[in-house]
Amino acid sequence: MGSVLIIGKPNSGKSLLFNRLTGIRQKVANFPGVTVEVRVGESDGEAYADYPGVYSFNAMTRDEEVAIEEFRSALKSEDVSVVLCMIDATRLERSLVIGLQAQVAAKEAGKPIVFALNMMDELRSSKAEIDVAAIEKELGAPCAAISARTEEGLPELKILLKKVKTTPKDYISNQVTESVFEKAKDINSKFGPKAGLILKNQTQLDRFFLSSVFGGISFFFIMTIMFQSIFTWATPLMDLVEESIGWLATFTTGSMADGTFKSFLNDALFGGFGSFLVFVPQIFVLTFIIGLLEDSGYLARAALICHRPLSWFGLSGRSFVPLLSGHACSIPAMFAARTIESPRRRLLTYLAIPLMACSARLPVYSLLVAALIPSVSILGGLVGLQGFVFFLLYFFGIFVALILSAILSKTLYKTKTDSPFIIELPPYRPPHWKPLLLKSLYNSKMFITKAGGIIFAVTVVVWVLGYFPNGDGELGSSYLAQLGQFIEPLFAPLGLDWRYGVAVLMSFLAREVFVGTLGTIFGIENAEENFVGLVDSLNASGFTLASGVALLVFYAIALQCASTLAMMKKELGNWKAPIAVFFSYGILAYVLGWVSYVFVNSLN
Amino acid sequence: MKLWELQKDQAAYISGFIESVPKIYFNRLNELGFQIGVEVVCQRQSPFGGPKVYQIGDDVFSMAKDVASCVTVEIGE
Ligand SMILES: Nc1nc2c(ncn2[C@@H]2O[C@H](COP(=O)(O)OP(=O)(O)OP(=O)(O)O)[C@@H](O)[C@H]2O)c(=O)[nH]1
Ligand SMILES: [Mg+2]
Repeated sequence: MGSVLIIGKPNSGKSLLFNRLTGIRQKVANFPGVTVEVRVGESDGEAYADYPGVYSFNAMTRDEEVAIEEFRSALKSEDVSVVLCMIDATRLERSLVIGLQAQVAAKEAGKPIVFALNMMDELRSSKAEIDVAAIEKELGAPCAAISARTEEGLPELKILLKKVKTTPKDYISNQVTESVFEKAKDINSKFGPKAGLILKNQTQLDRFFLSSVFGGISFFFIMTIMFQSIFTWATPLMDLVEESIGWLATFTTGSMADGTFKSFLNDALFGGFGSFLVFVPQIFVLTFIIGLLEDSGYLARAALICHRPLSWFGLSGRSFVPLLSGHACSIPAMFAARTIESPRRRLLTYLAIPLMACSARLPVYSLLVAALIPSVSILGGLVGLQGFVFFLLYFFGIFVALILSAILSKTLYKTKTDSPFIIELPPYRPPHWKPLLLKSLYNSKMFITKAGGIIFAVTVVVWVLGYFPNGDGELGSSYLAQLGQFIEPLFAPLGLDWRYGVAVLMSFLAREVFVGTLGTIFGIENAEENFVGLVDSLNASGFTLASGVALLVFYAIALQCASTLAMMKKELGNWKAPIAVFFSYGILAYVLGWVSYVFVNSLN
Repeated sequence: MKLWELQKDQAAYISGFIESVPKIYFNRLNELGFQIGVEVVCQRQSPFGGPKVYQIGDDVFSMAKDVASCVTVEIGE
């Protein structure tokens, strides 16, 4: 049977409904313009397609145009049997504008249309009502009152869709109108919710979150809490993982005779791969907090607050959400950047995203911070010093990105033509706990499986090169050391010996590899001991503060991520730009790393 | 007067658009419901000339100066 096209206004709940119907995990967030590509899914032999939301068939950006074109041509296809138009019942008039236009298009193509009046739960909780039967009559098309969140009305909607699919001819609207704006207004004023009820809550909260004084303070406060908690909340969990790995290592290898196999288990598996697993809780906490913000509706407010300051640097308030998601991973961040209407600002945002402290940098940062910075409290016990340095690292990435963007927008991309900054402010919503937890778990799992394979392979290679030809403990005369001598001159200016050089070079495969490689190398070196935490090994190796700062600066800037480069190529259409970015960020990272090394050294 | 000049908590009716309004602005404003005769309320202003917040019907939008300066409004019917 043919598929169902789900369309409608941005932020009306299309993707949530799609997920409910298909069991797929399409991204849902309380922000207009989350879905940027058509996604098709199937369940029980029924196919559904989730479209990016639009306010009308008048496309403004290239991506909107693509989505609308796709929708129109899908309508002509034999495979499509029904259009399901999502109506946000709390934003009835706006939803009906695109709904009525879709009705016209569906009729022209000879396809039936069904309306889903979503957010019934929200309508109820703000004590507002709509007249579903009257709206159905006005529209001349079947309507189902649903809540994609509470799942009320979904069984009925499925039955309705089946019925329409069996006799589609009976459901082709003949009540279409060309004056959609008038009709949308008319239906809303006659049968929609009473004015003022819906927005009461939102207006009150905005009075605080967007106030001239508290708006800025609360923005800063929320961001600080967010970055701090990645460090502080995750620490107990990380300690737990580290202890478990140590326990497992002792348990399995404790009674084993010394030898190649024991060294492999201890150094490559537990020391190398295990050191990387320690950081998974941070990914979990990070996803969880960004998810909280996405659910809440605050992101649109943050975009507003940041618009002015960001535009001083050539960016826009629209860049805020991509830059924030860049702290988890650049790939979804670049997808999010597609909603930036202005091509110039979009390009600058693409260049800024890889400088955000993404989750792959987290293991590197945490390891170095834990090794370099004493675990003490500052500001009268209010803030941990380590957490504070972490915050500075995040800030440093943002700072470099803004400076670069300002320079580029003043020199390379001077064109003045720009698109408007208009953004809908969605209602504030309580978080959706269960999907949020599931998503955070899923992301942690993805973090392990995606980087895990490559890290495991690298640790095995490093272990083999480090263990042979001499066997245990003789790292200094191993193959790895011989190779290491070659690259040492490159890292000597940063005060780093070949062991760190190898780890840095390996991390061009993926940043997290740095931790696994060091774990393996120090594992081989400390052969006598059983499992030792990597932080202790680092401290014992004569690692200096200056070198540590140099490494932190290097990792904050260098673009060591193949997927980001590939995505950049896809978005910009050529390899030239990503290659240029790769080399310029690499050189900048090295030079600034060296400058910080010299600077910190001069302080002692 | 321009929509941008509307003060916080002031209401007005949209009377038109300036002549030089870029088509892309006009289309977006139109589809979001900024049409002649519609009542609009300025809900919030931000410091440093940042975007303002406007309400029309049950919709709330945040809009930067360059866009809000393209819409003309009149206070009172
Ligand atoms: N209370 C409530 N919230 C809902 C309902 N349906 C969706 N939401 C919330 O509305 C927000 C937007 O949902 P999405 O599914 O991302 O909306 P969309 O239509 O796909 O949005 P775009 O992809 O931006 O066009 C999310 O915060 C959802 O949790 C509902 O029935 N009730
Ligand atoms: Mg969506």
